[in-house]
Amino acid sequence: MMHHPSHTTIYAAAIGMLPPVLNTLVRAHIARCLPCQTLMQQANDALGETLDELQPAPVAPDAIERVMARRAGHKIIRRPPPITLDWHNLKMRWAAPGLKIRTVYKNDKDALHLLRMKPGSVLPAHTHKGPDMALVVQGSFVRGGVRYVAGDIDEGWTENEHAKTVVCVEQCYLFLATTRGGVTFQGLFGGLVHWLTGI
Amino acid sequence: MKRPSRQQPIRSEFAQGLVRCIHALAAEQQDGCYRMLFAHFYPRLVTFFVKRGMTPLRAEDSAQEVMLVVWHDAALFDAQQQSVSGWVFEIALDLATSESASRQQWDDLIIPLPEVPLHAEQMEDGVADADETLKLYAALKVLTAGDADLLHSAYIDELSHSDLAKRLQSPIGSIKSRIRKSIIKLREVMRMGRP
Repeated sequence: MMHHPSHTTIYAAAIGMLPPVLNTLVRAHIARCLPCQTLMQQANDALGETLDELQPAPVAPDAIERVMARRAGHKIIRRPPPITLDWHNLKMRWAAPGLKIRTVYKNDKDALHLLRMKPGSVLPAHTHKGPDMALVVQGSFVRGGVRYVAGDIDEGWTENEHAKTVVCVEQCYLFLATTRGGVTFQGLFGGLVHWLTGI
Repeated sequence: MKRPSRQQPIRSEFAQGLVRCIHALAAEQQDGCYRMLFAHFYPRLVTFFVKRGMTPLRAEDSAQEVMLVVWHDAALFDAQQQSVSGWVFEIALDLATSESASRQQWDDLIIPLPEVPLHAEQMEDGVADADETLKLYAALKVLTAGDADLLHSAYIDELSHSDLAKRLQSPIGSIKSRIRKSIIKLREVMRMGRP
C-alpha cells in the first residue's frame, strides 16, 4: 500500500463529516494501514481534547444519581453487526471491452460501484461530478504514471482528469464511490465543503 | 519487511488519570471512579450536543445515554488505541449521527481487503514510464492479432520489410501499407485521453 487517504479525509472521517459512502472505503483502507491508524488515533485524541476543553453546561445536581439508578436495567441499543461484503461472488454486468461493473448500493446522491478491469483495458479520461474515491481490492491499475495496488486509495478523480487515463495492469477489482451526482466540485475538499453546506 | 510499530502516544497527567479511572471502573465497577468520569464528561457532553443543535433537554438525554455506554463498555476501552476523551467523543459522535438514514445504510458495510504485503520499494521502480508502456499495450488491443504480430516482428524483433514479406508470403507493398495503417490506428488510440 502506497496511496493513502489525504489527511483532510482522515480528519473528516474522525469528525464524522466524510460522506458515508467515501467513509466505507476509507475504513477498509485504515483497517489494513498502520500509518493511517496512527493518524486516525491522533485525530481522535485531538477531538477528545476539544471535548475536554468545552465549557461545562449547568446540569441538575441529581443527574449522577438518576443515571446511576438507570445503569442496571438499562439496555443499550446496539447497531446490527456490520455486513462483510462478499464482493468476489457478486454478479457483474458487461460495461465496455474488458470492463465489468456492479452497482453495490445507490441512493439519490451517493453510489458505490464494483468494477472489474481486465489487463490492458482502459477507463477513458473523464470527469466525475462530485468528490470520488477508488479503492483497489485486487490487482492493480496505473493512472498518470502511478500504480495503485490492493489497499490503495485514489481520491480526487475530479482533478486534471483529462490528462489521466486509467490503465489496467493485471486483472483489477476496484470499488468506486461517487457522491453528489449532478454537481461538479474541484477536489475532495471542495466536495466536503459542498456536503457540509449543502449548496 | 519489518512492520513499523505503533507509536505510543504521550498523554498528559490528566489524561492518564482518566485512563486509570476507566480501568478501575472496568475491573471493579467502582462508583467513585464513575462519579469522577461523570463529573468531567457529563456537563461537557451536554454542551457538545447543544452545540450540535439539540435542545438542552434532549442534550441531557443524549449525554446520559453516552454515560450509560461508558458504564457498560468500560472494559472495551483500549488505552493503546485512544485516549479516554477520544473514546467518549467517538461514542457521542456515534450517537449524534446515528439518526441519519444515509449513514446507517453505509455504516454497516465492511469491504474486506486481502492481507496486503507491504512492498513499497519494489513498486517504486519502473512505475514512472509504466503508464506509457501500458497505454501502448492497451492500444495494441485495437489491432487484429495479425497486425499486432506484424508490428511486433517489425519493431521488437526488428525484421526487415522484405523478411516479413517472405515470411508471410505477401507482396512487400501490402506489408508496408499494413504496418503504416496499424501505426496510424495506434497513434489515434494513444492520443485518446491526452489533453
